[in-house]
Amino acid sequence: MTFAIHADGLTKRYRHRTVVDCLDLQVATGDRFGFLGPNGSGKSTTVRMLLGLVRPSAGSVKILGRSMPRHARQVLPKIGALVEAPAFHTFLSARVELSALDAAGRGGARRSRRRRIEDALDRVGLGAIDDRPISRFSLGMKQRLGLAAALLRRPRLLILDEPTNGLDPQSIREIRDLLLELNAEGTTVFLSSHLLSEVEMLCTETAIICDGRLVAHDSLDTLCGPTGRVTLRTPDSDLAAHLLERVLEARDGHSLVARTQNPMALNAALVSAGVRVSELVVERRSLEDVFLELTGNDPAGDLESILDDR
Amino acid sequence: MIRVELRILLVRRRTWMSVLMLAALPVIVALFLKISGIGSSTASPAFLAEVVHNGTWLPVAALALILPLFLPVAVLLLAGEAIAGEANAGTLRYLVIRPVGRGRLLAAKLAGIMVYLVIAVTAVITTSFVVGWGLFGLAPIRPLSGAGPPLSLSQAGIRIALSALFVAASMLGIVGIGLFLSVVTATPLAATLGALGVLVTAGVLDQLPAAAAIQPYLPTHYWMGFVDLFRAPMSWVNIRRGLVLESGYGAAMIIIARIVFGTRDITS
Repeated sequence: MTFAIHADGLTKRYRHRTVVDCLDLQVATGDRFGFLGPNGSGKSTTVRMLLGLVRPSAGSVKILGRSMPRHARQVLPKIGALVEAPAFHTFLSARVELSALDAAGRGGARRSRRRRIEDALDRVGLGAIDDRPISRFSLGMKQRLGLAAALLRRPRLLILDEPTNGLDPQSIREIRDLLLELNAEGTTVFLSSHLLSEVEMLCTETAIICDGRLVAHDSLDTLCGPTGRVTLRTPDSDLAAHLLERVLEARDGHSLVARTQNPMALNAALVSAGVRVSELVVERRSLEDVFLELTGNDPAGDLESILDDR
Repeated sequence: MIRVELRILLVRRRTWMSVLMLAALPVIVALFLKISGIGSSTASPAFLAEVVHNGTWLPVAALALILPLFLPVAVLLLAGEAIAGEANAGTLRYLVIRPVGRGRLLAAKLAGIMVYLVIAVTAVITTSFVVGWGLFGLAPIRPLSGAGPPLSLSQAGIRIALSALFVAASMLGIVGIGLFLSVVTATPLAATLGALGVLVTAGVLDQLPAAAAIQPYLPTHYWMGFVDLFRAPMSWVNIRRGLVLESGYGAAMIIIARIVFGTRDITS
């Protein structure tokens, strides 16, 4: 299987400081992949190594099946990227800037340029933009324009670093819908972010980096798996509490929390004993819990248990 | 990339403002000469004094006026900004992943600077030619030294054009240094000032008798070599040496800049 992104033992050292430490990353073609990490954890350096901007001290990167940075000339035209904040020649207008950017590098056919620019602007909601210089754009407009620049070549792989930075909730939703739409058309989306909600709502696969090391690399479903607890509500709470005595963790009126690996059996047992269950919810770890525990910012966190559960 | 670079250079207001200022300097000097009627007799170069008698000298004087500082500052602003400016604005990473090869990017920047130089010296000699004509009138010019027949207007015109090209080419050495510094720093101003520092040092050493041994190798040593075009007989020696020296410095610095740029991480 060829991966859209395949990093193997990726390492970056600056003098005595190791910024990225032996990172293994596999992003399958067609994935929506979230790359999470606290600020300063090595996310951006990793993204820059993927794109060939920073040379790894050790390890290798393959993008779309070809090694980087050696095949950068062939690979990069198929990638759209937003690396940290977008940046432009701010004295130019949006269309002139995009056209200059497209003409500057390999791989953009001149005949389709105008159409591709209009397409990209339309997609990010800047289709009606006038000729004002980019310096007069709002932060949100610049972010959208940066995304348009990334879409200009109709890339097969999008590598986006904090793409919704500076956007209002409405715009964030529009951008998310756009990314879902592109993904449905076959574009692999690699989203680097410290915003958990962004990853939670968009991605199916995720990796978490902390202090340069990968601390998790799994599907979101697995990471945010059941905690082994269920919460149930029943008017017959006394009877239920009696039946569940050995696994009961907490009780608050008609609401009970019980430990179980098998919610179905628990429910069946309750019902057959005549307990009327009005609500039964399997508790799942939130991405926030997982993230905070893995990145060591939660003093109550139990790293071992998370890793064991996986 | 070269076309894109030129397009960005030419739509930029700053480009044309600096050309305008360069062209304005000799005009201002000419106005003072006209109003006061005083040709500075102690002036170096000597032909500045000739301007009040014959406007044909004004373009030559203009080149000599912008050469020591004004033109280097203007061109080093561009050279210093070449890579460091893109890094500073954050656009460098987007260009490199477009992808624009790093060598190609450097070549485009160099081409932009050369085009700017040609535009600048053309603007300077054209304006001063017109102003010299209007204020002092045009006449055939006598060679600066030696004996010979006066140069007709068309002969003088050709030599003035050659001088302008030589002045533009004279900037190659410091442009190379500026481009190199622009690669190693992320601050455009630092690159510009660093190259200006080299320029000032070279200028000081060029005047210092104790440094006579290295003077022929200073990047500024042959800058005034174009004056030899107005002597009789015309001498090409300094012109040739100047061109060799400048292209040597320029090529060496740009090759080093390319190598350093190629191995550098882009973290801006």
